[in-house]
Amino acid sequence: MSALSIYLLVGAFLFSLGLFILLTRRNAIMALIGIELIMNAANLNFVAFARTQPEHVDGQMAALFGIVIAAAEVAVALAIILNVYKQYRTVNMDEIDTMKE
Amino acid sequence: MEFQVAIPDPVTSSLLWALAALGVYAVGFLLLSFVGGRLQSLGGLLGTAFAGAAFACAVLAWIGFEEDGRLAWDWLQLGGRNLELSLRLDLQAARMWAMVTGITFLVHLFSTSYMAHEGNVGRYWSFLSLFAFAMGVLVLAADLLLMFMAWELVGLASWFLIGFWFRKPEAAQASQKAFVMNRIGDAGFVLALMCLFAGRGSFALEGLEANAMTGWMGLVAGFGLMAAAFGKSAQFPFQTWLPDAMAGPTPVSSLIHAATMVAAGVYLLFRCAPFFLPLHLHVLTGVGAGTALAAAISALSQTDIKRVLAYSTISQLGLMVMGIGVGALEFTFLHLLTHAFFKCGLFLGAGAVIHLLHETAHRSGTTFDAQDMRWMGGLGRKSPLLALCYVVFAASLAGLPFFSGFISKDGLLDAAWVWGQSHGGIAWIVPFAGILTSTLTAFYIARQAILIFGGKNRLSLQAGKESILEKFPRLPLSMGIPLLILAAFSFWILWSFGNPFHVGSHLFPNFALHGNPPVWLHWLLTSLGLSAIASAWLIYRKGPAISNPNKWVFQLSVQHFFWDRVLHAGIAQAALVFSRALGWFDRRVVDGLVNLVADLVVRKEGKPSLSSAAAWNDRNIVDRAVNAAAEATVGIGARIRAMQGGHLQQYLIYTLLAILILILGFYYLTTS
Repeated sequence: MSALSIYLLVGAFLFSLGLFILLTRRNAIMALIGIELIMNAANLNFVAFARTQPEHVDGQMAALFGIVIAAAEVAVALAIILNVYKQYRTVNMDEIDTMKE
Repeated sequence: MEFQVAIPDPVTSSLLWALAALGVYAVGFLLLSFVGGRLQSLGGLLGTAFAGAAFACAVLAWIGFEEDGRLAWDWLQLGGRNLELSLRLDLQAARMWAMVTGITFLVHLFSTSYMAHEGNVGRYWSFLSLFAFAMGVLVLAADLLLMFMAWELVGLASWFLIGFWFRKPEAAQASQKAFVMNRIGDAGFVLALMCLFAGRGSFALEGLEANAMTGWMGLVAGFGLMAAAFGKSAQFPFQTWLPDAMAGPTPVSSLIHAATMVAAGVYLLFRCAPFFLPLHLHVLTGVGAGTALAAAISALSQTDIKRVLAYSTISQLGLMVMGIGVGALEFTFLHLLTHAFFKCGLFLGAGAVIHLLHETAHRSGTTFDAQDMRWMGGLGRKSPLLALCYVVFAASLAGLPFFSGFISKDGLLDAAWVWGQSHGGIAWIVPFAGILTSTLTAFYIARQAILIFGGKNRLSLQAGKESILEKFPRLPLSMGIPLLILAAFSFWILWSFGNPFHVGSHLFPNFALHGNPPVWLHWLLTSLGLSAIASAWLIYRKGPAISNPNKWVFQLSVQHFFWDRVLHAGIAQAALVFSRALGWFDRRVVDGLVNLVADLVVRKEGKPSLSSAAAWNDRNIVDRAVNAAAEATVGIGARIRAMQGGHLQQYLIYTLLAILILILGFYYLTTS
């Protein structure tokens, strides 16, 4: 097993974990954490592939962008969750089902 | 006279002038219909101006006439055949149209005084225009289909005008009677049209000859056309509507009798004359001569000033129909024109008398019947011009020499004599009936003129008040001018330049009589006429003769051989009986059947019936099927609806699944 495969396995594990959290937790903030895990799995993959091609910096750049986007995304998502809480007095996603209408 | 024109004629300037006259009437009709009510007396002037313009156009069309003009347009396709409507101006149509517009103009002029005190005259003026317009289309039509449309329009306009005083019951009934009588004849027209279309495939008047159609269809078509003409021209058995139509305003009667209505029937016969088979011609001759004589007898004893003239018209039209039958087409047409002028004059004269007497009654504060000749007399001294014109018209009607009636009527009787000669035997009845009619005509018109204008006035006998006639007004100018013009047309001058005894002016060249009528016939007719006038003078100069109204002979004449009653008993009552029988059939048989079916169908007190079976079927089969479909839909909907729960995470799972499927799909596609 090469070093790359180990990195990729760790990334896949992180992605699966994030997806699991995203799909199973009822709390919106927990779902947000799941999303963070998924994004970090993606960043880990970028970095791992970048190591196999040292002459290019594209992978690192993409990872950096991913981190920035994750930060921005957290800011926006938390603001949305706060507003949802104000509106519905809950962050339980099962109770917030007005989208069906 | 040539009837068959094979080459299509061009659109001539004459035709355009004739159409312009039609257009003027159409515009006049529309304008007066929409604004005529508001114009009051101005409407009359406007209508008269339109009529004058139309007359000018028609005269231009006539004077400038050089060759036949024709205008046709496709109307519709029927069973692969092209129906076209066409207008054609030949010499006869040009003359006829000039006459119709002229008479219409004079009647308009006369009406401006006659109808001056009437309310709501807007429709009077507009329908006069419509009447003339319809007659113009009829005169110019070159095919029977268009002619039929105009024919019906003429009937409609006459209905409106005869019933102008529709609040008077007798006027309303007279207009209905005229309309219905005409309708019966028109059924014949429709029948003829159907036969012509089936047999010839064309309605064109051109090429309409006796051999155009053979077999029973030709026979039926001929009789249909004759029935239509008899209805319009008030011939046996339809003649009774015309005396009743006197309930309309007198200028309208004048128009109907001279130019527009009754002339249409003779004009149709004239146009279709070559089509008739010998049998048709014999019927025409017999009916014409018979009607002429019977109507002349009835005119002898009438007391109403207008009814005398009405029977006179029937009688003269009878002579014309007879003329068609004996083949004297030229003289028939000539008599149609000359008769139009002097009969229009007679009616306008009678109208003037009625109008002036109404005025007299109004001014002197009395009431009397202004149409009863028994109370007239002595009016000649009050209004010499009117009396003079009336005598001229009367002389023309009586057929005295130097008058227009002499030329045309004696021509007709000449032709009848020749016809009788060539057929022999029983056919001699026809010329003798004609001679008798001519003599009686002289008698009744002399009687009328003497009763109105001669002798002493008898009004005081009826109104019970002396010196009523001192209030007799002057003849208005708008009445005098038309009378003078018509009187001028009643002399021979216009019709036969130079020779007062022979037709042959530049207006009517090449009149030819087939055969040799004896010259003494004219001497006989003239002397008979003069002696009839003399005897009328002897009998009536002292006022109406004491006649015994209970004598059956007298009643036979007054009531026109009870023909109205015969029609009423024979046809109206028969129709009522028939309708009662139909009513019984309707109630018993039709209603019974309907009720039976209803009983079978509708459920009554739990009895089994068609409707209960249908209801069971509805409930148990149709409803169930519908409900099952509805439930299935609801079930599927509920299941699918659960997917759209509004739960974010469910959506995410769907998205994930979709992405997985996509990835697997791509993988499968790229590796295989």
